[in-house]
Amino acid sequence: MKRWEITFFVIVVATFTFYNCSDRLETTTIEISSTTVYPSRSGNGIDANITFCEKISKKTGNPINPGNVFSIKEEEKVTAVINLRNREYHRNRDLMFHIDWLDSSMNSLFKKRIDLPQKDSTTVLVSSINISPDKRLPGNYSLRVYLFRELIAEKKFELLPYVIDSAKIISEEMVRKITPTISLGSKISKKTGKLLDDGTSFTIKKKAKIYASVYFENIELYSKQPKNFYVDWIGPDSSSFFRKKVELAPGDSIYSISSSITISPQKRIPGNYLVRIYLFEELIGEKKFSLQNATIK
Amino acid sequence: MLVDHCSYYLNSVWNFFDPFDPLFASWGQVALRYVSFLCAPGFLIINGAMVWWGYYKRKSKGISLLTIRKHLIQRGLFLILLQMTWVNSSWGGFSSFNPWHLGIISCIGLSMIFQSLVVNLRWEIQLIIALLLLIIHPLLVQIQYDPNNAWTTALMQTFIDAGKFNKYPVIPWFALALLGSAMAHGWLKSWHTNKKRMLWSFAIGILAISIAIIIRTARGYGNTFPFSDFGSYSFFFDQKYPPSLFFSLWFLGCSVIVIGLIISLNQYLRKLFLIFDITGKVALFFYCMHIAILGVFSKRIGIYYHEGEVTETLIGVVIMLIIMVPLSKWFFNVKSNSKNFIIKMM
Repeated sequence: MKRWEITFFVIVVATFTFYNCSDRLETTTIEISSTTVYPSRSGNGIDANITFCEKISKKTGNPINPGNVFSIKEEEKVTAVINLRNREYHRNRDLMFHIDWLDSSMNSLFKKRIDLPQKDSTTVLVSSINISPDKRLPGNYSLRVYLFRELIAEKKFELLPYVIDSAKIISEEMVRKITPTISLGSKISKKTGKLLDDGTSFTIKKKAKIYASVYFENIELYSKQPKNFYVDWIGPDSSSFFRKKVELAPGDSIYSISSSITISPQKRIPGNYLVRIYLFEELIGEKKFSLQNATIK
Repeated sequence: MLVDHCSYYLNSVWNFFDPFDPLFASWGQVALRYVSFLCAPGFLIINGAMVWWGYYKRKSKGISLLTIRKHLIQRGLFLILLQMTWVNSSWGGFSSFNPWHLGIISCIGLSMIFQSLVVNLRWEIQLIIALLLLIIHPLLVQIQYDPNNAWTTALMQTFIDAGKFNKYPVIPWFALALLGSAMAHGWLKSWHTNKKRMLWSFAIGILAISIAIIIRTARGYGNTFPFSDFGSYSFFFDQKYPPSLFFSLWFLGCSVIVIGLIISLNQYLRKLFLIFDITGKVALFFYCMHIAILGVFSKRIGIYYHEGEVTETLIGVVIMLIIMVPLSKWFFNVKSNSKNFIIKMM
């Protein structure tokens, strides 16, 4: 045998040896979940099954709204839940996983490395990406899972175009434009509903009350939209002690709302208080007032 | 080197490939990447050997140690300057000037400067220094630093760690250059026949690989990334930037064996090795020119930039060899007859 023949033989053997260094088979299998799996060469090697969902239940740990098609939305995410099979055979060593999110051009959007130390019993890996319209475009995306740098599973998902939530835009506009004027008083006219004695300082008394009357400017611009107002009463300890919800249905021509609290000595203590007005959980106005004990004569 | 650089420009995996934390979807891509891992250790080892050989020849001619050191420092500084100017710009096809970045050429330059200080020492001492540096390096890598502080980042990445500023820190790579210098005592002085050179190269190479395997299988000190099983891809793919102790010893062994193979096969496969002979004589010119050509035509003009896969990369290698071999031959003739400082330095 000539030397060049030996060299050629060595190169061929080295190539085949290197080829067989892979932990994975070149042939893939597609699971019911449509995860493409690159099976392990050994029977008890780790395999992965991928599920996409919107969220994970904090109570049960199960995926919420699983699927392969999602709509681009503000502050929303797609979460991948990766279930590992045969994990129990690999507790005696460290495991190195990589989760790689790819766009339709196969560019990596986000890569996460997860190292599972010896004796760790984790069988589920989780990763999420933001699908806000400012971050993602509609199209096909995919997720790849690597174990020790070798691809072990892959799954695609689709992002649908962002649908503008007009109701949300209008409610945000309402929050900006509707401005409340808050008046406080201890008496209210039963005939007109107007406060009889405005003020910001009140005396704690048996059977006494404080009334808050809130007049809204520009509310007439949004008479066709439903509106949820909250009147929140805050105590000296900065915590809310009473919250009143006022729902205005479309067509309601109401310009003001009211709420009241009792200020009897059994229920209140002297100090600085606040009344806050919320529209769709957004703070739009507040007013301070104080309570004092009655002067002993 | 050419394979890896063709892959960098032509292979679509580089759209998302992270050399610091590589992931592979097929064995062809693994092979393509792994082949290139031999280059940097080989460069440093051969350069270390050549530095010693240059010193030895000059010393034989009666040139003073100070003059030899001056020459080595001058050449080292030239390489650093070359990295910061031509090499850095050529990667992007000269679309921008980015001097504040170091790489393999500046690492060789810095190693040369440091080697000038110890080149006159006995090979045993150089060997001990090299091994100490390799053994200590994993401890040094653990030094914490603020990546937002430019000065500490530059300092750490010049000598110890790897990052965007420099992928080739001097300490571990200088150690390989010193090992090359120690090997040169055998290759170029003590081992008089090719048979001896070959046998010693294989013996030393196998010893280095064996120590590397022991370190890797122990899964402790000297390892950076975990691996699945002995002989799997992950077993061989430990950290390159900066190199782990396993990586350095493994590729020291591989490089020394390959050099032994080249020595033994050179007399039988002269025509094949002619390619390496021509390009090897003007290695720095080859490095600078092939990146510039790929940078301009692929990245800047956009010819097949990140569009191909393994086959296209290999076709690119053949095309580049067809261009670079005659170009290198031409430059060798120019260099042989030139007295120009820069041409002589190439």
